[in-house]
Amino acid sequence: MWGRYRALMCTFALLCACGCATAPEVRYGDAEQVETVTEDFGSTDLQTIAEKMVNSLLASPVLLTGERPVVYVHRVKNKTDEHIDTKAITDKIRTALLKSGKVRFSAVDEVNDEMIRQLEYQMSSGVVDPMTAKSLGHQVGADYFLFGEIMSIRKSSGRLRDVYMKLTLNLVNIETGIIEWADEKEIRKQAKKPLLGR
Amino acid sequence: MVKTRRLAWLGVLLLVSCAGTQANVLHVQAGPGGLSSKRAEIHDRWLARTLSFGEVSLRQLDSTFEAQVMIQNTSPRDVRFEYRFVWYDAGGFEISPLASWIPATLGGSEARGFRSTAPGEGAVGFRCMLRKSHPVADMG
Repeated sequence: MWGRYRALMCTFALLCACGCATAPEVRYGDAEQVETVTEDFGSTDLQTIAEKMVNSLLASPVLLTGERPVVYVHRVKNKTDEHIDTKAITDKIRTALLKSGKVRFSAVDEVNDEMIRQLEYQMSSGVVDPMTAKSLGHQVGADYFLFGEIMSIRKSSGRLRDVYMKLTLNLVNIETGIIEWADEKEIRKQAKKPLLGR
Repeated sequence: MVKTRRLAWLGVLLLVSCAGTQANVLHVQAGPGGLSSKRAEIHDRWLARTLSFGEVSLRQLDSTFEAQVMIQNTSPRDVRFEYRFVWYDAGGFEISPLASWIPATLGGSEARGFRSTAPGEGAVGFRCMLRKSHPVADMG
């Protein structure tokens, strides 16, 4: 009886070890799940910022006119002490806004040289059918200019580390120079170092 | 008898430690004059006793909506949770370009409005989902 009980306990322990094992393994996770691996800028911060900014922009009077204004996106200035790919922030916001169908974006900042080279090729190489060749001078001028900055204040005391981050975005009317929309998102993260380890 | 009870407790512990997180969902349908209907779907009773869905406000923005759902912390302690809004059209298709889980905290007995704007003209309703904090990994 005792032997059977021990065998049962061993099997149970083995099942626990297999089921809840924390051994290194590779698996696909949910990209939208909250990530708090470290206090540095992470995927959840990127998603939270994009969510807040997109909601705010979609509710702004600038996008409610139904005219689908053209926006030129300038990179967000990184004023934090860590490396942040700020283009990922503007790309995520731009993609979500484009899907809403309420705004259009100018690609001038990113692929202008390639576009001009392509136009020159279509017009002067003699390879492209003149009936379908596109010509210079037809790019649409942007109505608005999107820019911003991200800053952080980092403090630590003993085992506690505290990071405060703030992203501010502004939408400026290129013709008038007036800031038509602005919003900011604040994020605070705290981490406590373990007694042992790093 | 004692051994059986120990085994049962071990089983319970295993189930609790490896359990997933289910979300409580508030289904909201918009009508021509604003809010048409709302229905709460409770999957996590502990969370429902701690965080409750309150008043829902819908504001017409030109051809789209802005929604606000009041969430009330009914406990005296701070509660960390995650929320997200998912908008859908008349055909039931999700139209949210972003539907990430957003971490949030409500202080003891605090109530706050959480907002979302419909991404397009075709939105007819949304789901506001709440769940316990469910991070990929803990800080530290």
